[in-house]
This record gives sequence, C-alpha cells and structure tokens, in this order.
Amino acid sequence: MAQRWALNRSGISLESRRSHNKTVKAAGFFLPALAMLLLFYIGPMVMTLFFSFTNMAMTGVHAKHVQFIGFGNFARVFSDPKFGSAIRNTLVFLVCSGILGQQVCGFLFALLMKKKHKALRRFVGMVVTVGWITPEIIAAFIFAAFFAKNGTLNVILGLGGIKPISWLFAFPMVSVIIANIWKGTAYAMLMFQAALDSISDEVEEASMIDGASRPQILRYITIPMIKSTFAVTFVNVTLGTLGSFVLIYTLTGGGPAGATTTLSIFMYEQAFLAYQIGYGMAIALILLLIGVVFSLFYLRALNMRD
Amino acid sequence: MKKRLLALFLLLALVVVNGGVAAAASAEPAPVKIQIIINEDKKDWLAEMITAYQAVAPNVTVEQVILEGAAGDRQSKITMLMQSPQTCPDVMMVDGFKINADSAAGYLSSLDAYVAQWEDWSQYSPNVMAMGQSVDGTTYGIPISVDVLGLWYDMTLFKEAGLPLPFEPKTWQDVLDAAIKLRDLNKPDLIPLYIYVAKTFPERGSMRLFQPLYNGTGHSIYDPQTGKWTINRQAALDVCNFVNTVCNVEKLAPPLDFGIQNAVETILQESYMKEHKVGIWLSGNWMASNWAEGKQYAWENVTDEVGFAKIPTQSGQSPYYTSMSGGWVWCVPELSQQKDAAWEFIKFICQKDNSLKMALAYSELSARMDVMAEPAYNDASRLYVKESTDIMGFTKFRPSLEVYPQVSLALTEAMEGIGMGIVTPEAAVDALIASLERAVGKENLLVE
Repeated sequence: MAQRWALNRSGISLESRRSHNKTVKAAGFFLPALAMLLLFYIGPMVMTLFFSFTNMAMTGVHAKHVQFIGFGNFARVFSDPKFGSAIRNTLVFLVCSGILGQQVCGFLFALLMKKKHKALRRFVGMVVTVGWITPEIIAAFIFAAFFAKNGTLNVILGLGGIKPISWLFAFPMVSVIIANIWKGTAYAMLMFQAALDSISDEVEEASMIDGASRPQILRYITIPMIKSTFAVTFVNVTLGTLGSFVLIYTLTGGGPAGATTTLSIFMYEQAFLAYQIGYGMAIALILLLIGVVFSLFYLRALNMRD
Repeated sequence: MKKRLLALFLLLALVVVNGGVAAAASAEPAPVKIQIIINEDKKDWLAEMITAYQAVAPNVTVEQVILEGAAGDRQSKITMLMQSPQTCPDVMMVDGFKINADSAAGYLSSLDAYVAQWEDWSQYSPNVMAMGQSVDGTTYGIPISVDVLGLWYDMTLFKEAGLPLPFEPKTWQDVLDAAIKLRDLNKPDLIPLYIYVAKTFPERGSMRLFQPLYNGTGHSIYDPQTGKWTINRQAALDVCNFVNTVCNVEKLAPPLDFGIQNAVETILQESYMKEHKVGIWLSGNWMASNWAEGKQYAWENVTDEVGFAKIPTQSGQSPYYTSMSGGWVWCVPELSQQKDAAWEFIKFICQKDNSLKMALAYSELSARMDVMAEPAYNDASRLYVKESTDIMGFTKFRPSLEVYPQVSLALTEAMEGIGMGIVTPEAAVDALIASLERAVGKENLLVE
C-alpha cells in the first residue's frame, strides 16, 4: 500500500493516478453522509458531553446564565436514589427484552424456519416482521389495549375463568418487556436467518457424518460460524433497547411509582419535566457509556476485535 | 470552483437586497402581523376575538396557533418556542407557576410600563395580579382566569347513605366518615372518595392533593418572608396519613390502575359522575364547564344531583377551609418583534366585555372584579359560580418559584407511592424531605 502511495505521489504510474482520482471521487460521494453524521450525530454527542458539565436549564436563571460546574451533575446523579432504581430497571429491561427476548426468540425463529417450506417461512416471517415495521407509538397503543383491564389479554384469560388483571399496573415491567420483544424480534430473526442461510449444507452434513449430534452441531459448528452476526445483532439490539423511550413512556409513563423508569425515562423526566437540561445530559452520557461498555464487552466476548 | 463561489455570493447578495427592499417598504404605515399561541380549549373564543379585532385594528393580522398534547410536553414546547427569534410568538398563554422561572430565564418581557398606563389593571385584585408577577413584583403576565378546588359530591348517593345535605364537612375526619358511609352502601363500582394520586399528570398529585391538604394543616410549603421552603414533618405526615387512609386503610379510592389512565378526568366527568358511581371527588371548579348546557358532557339539572363543597381544614381550624388556585396568564415573550402590537391585542381581549364573554363561554371564574359583579356572570344558569367564588376568598396560589416544578414532582411522587400502597406514610415523608433537599438545596429548606 505504502509503495503504491509513493508511486502515486511521484506521479509515475498512470494507473495509480487513476486510482487516486477514484479515491477522491469516492471521498466526494462519501462527504454528504459524513456531513450529516457530523451534524446530527457527532455534533449532538459532543454537545451532550459539553453541556453535561454545566447547570444548563430549560428555564429559570440557569437558562440565561449557564455555568460550568465540573462533575457536579455526575455527583448528583450518583447520589440520587432514583438513579439506582433506573439503572436496575434499565438492566432488567435490556437483559430480558433485548438480549434474552429479542435475540433468543429471533435466533430460535430463524433456526426453526431453516430449510422449512417456503410458504411457511414467508408466513412466519411476515407475522414476526409486522411488529418490527409497526411504528413504536402504534405498537405502544396496541399493547395498551392488549394489557388493559378490559383488554384482549383479559378477555382471552376470562374464557378460562381467570379474573381480569390490571397488567400494566400489577406487572408493569413484564408487560413492557413483552411489548418490546414483540416489537424487536423480527430484526434479530432476519439477521440470523440471513446468516444461517449462508452456512452451506455441506458443513453440517460433514459433521453429521463425523457423528456430531444436532445440539453439538449447533454449539460447535453453526453458532461459531455466525458469531459475527451475533456481535452485530447484540450491539444493535442493546443500543436500541437502551434508548427505548416511546414504548415505555406510552405504556406506563415510567410508573407506577417508578417501576418502569429506565434511564431514558429518567433522563426525560429530569430534562423536560424538571427542566434540568444539564442534569438530563449527564444521564444521557451515562446511558451512552453503558451502551459503549456493553458493545465492547460483546465484541471482546465474541472475539471480534481482531 | 471559483465560478460556483461567485454564483453563491451573487445569490446571497440578491437575497440581502431583496430583504432590504422589503424592510424599506414596511417602514410606511404597514400591516403588522402578530402570532398568538394558545391552548386548544380557548380557540373558539379567541377566533371570535380575532375577528372582532380586525374592526378595531384593520392593519393588524393575528395568527392563532393552537398547542396540543399533554400538559408537560406543552410546557416544554412553549419554553423552547420562546428561545429562538424564529419561533417566538408575540402573545402566549403561560401557566402561572412558570412566571418566575421564565422571567429569570429572560424569556418574558416586563409589562410594568404597559400596565402602569392601563386603567383596567385596577380591576384585578392583588392576589390575582400576583399570578402574573415574579417575586420581585414585576408584572410579566395578565391573568386570564382563576380556578379553585372543592369537593364534588353526589347528592343521590348521599341521600341513600343517610348523609345530611348539603354536605358541609368541618374536618378531614368528616370527609372520611362520609366516604366510609358511602363505601358501606356496598355498591359495585362505586368510588366513595376520589383523589389524585397518580403521577400521570405530575401537577395533580401536588397542586390538587398535597398542597391544599398541607395548607389545611395550617402550614405552607414556602415562606415568602424568609424565602425558604419549609416542611413540617408532622403536618406532612398528617397529609400522608390521610391519603393512606383513603387509599389503603379504608379503601375509599379505586386502585391506582384506574387513576393512572390518561383520560381519568374525562371518564369521571363524562360517565362515572352521571352514573352515580362517585361519592366525593376532590377536584376543580372547571368540571362544571363541561356539564353546562350545550357543552361536551352537558348534564341537565346537574345542580340537583351534584354539589360543590368547600374542603375543610384538618381539624376545622381557621381559616376553616382550604383550596389551591392556578391559572394561566397572557405574556409577551422577550424575543417578540411586535411587543406594542402584542400588548394592544392583550388589552383588547382582556377588556371587560371580552373577559365576560370568555367567562361565560367556558363557565370560568373571571380574573376581573368588574366582570364578577356583572349580572350575567352571576346568573343561575352559570353552574356553581357562587360556590366557586366563595372559595376564591381563601384560596392560595402556588409558590411559583423557579424550583417549583422540581418541588411539585417530589410532592407528586410521595402521593403516588402512598397511593400504590408500597410506601408507608413515614417513609414517604422521609423520602419527600430528601427529594426536597435535593431540589431546593439543603440551605433553602427548613424542616420543622
């Protein structure tokens, strides 16, 4: 590579000049995307980082005179009793709905549908994907109706003589977890389906001839072969679940009594109900860090860093 | 590249020149456009005002923008609109409790110079005026209307339970006793006493439950003399115990899953009350507005079926009754480009006749004294105006300081914890004090 660049700079090879032009052209095409990324992604991230060290408020004197307060917001967060429960709720929600629910369900769906009849694959795929393509707010309303005291679930259970239960109130976390699994399983399923399809039958057949049982094939052949898909899905699902707001906010508003207040709901409450923007940004930053930690953990655990 | 830059420059120049021409043209006696942002409920009255204003000021066009959505989100949106000259309206409806915060943030312009020359200003009583004033006495808003709290009660159920009418409780215990008798009617789906404990609408558990009750113990959460927030442990515990008795001990209120519904107020107002399923309901006078003839939930002869009682103090101590009031005010944002025109329009819509029209249209309590003296205002067809006006005599307004939203959130959370039955009253008070310390700062909180 270095050699080619050297040649390029000296302008000796026509071919390398052409390649240089290509690079410039590619960079040109890449620029708008980069600009968008900078403007709408990196920019806000840097601003979040900056403002999380200030006492910026949406209204009041600190809206006018924003001061740098060092780690003040972070000290406040870690001494806030609500923060502990928000972290706990976030982790429960993430592990149960994102990691276990969406990933495991998605993988199972994909595995069970492998090599099945096309019509069945198409039907199941469509049913599962409906959840994914439904806008979050609509999914939330569907589940609000499903879990309501006089809602679908209770009507069905009522047929078996079970008294109506107020699900969103009695089992708020379980309810939002189920809603989120329904919503997000399709993504994991589609990813795993594509990955599983890419494994050639010969590999599995060969191991079968060698005497491997089905679970062994799954454990030692299939999963290791698609571990990069696992990593990508893990990271995406984790980040998506950590940032999940609309579904929870619409279903329970973070309640009752904070039982479903995840970090994103807590951040919203502090920034937009208590008007403490700087404080809200500090919480957002912590949320971001948790996402980064989880992502690095997956990549390392699945040995993807090389 | 150079060519392109040149073209861009030329284009920019053209825009600037054009703008200049437009500005020069508007120097003549020109049309003025003002934008007013309001809540949905006032749109019909305001549309009428805008049409009427055309006759008075033909050169002024008023654009009405209606803000929809949940109360909390609306507040955030209003605040953000005021932050930029591109989105800042000229007149807006602001909830009274935000006056201090919004003026400290520099969002609102002082109306002192305007009201000084406005003779109608004397028609607003000092405690109503205070709704639109900051702690230093500067006027930032003109009060639109006032609301009060009381106890709605179902006369049919009261008769059935053998309770005397009219309902005139002297103490909290009287309210509880009546609700217990109603509960003992053993009617299915009956709510003996409804109070707001859910956090779904943060301001409800605070302003429409904790604060009126706390004031009824003879204490106040804020002392304007010392500028300190105060919490009397015993008084707060008494309030929490009352709520605990209602929700958990005597089970007079429905389970919280009923209360967390977004539409709970509508459900009660639209069907539960009419179906005689609510005994007593601690709520605001504005319920009556929808029961009036021709309104959304019109209710014929409602006054024969429902009464509006005053909320007693804890043990009947002076001033005997308690209530909390809020209300919205008209403001001119600091970034408005048309402040004078905006003020003229506010003056117009706040005139006696127009204020009366609004009070009549929405069965509201007027902010103006001369309107309150009008025969039409006191007409019997105007539901519960007399009862509500009586309450105005002793009602209190929220300590609308900058940290109030955080204080209010803490109060609501305390109420919800008890309402759910997961926190004991003692623990709720401890948690409340800790939250208040965090909100206002330890040095600004006096724990008695």
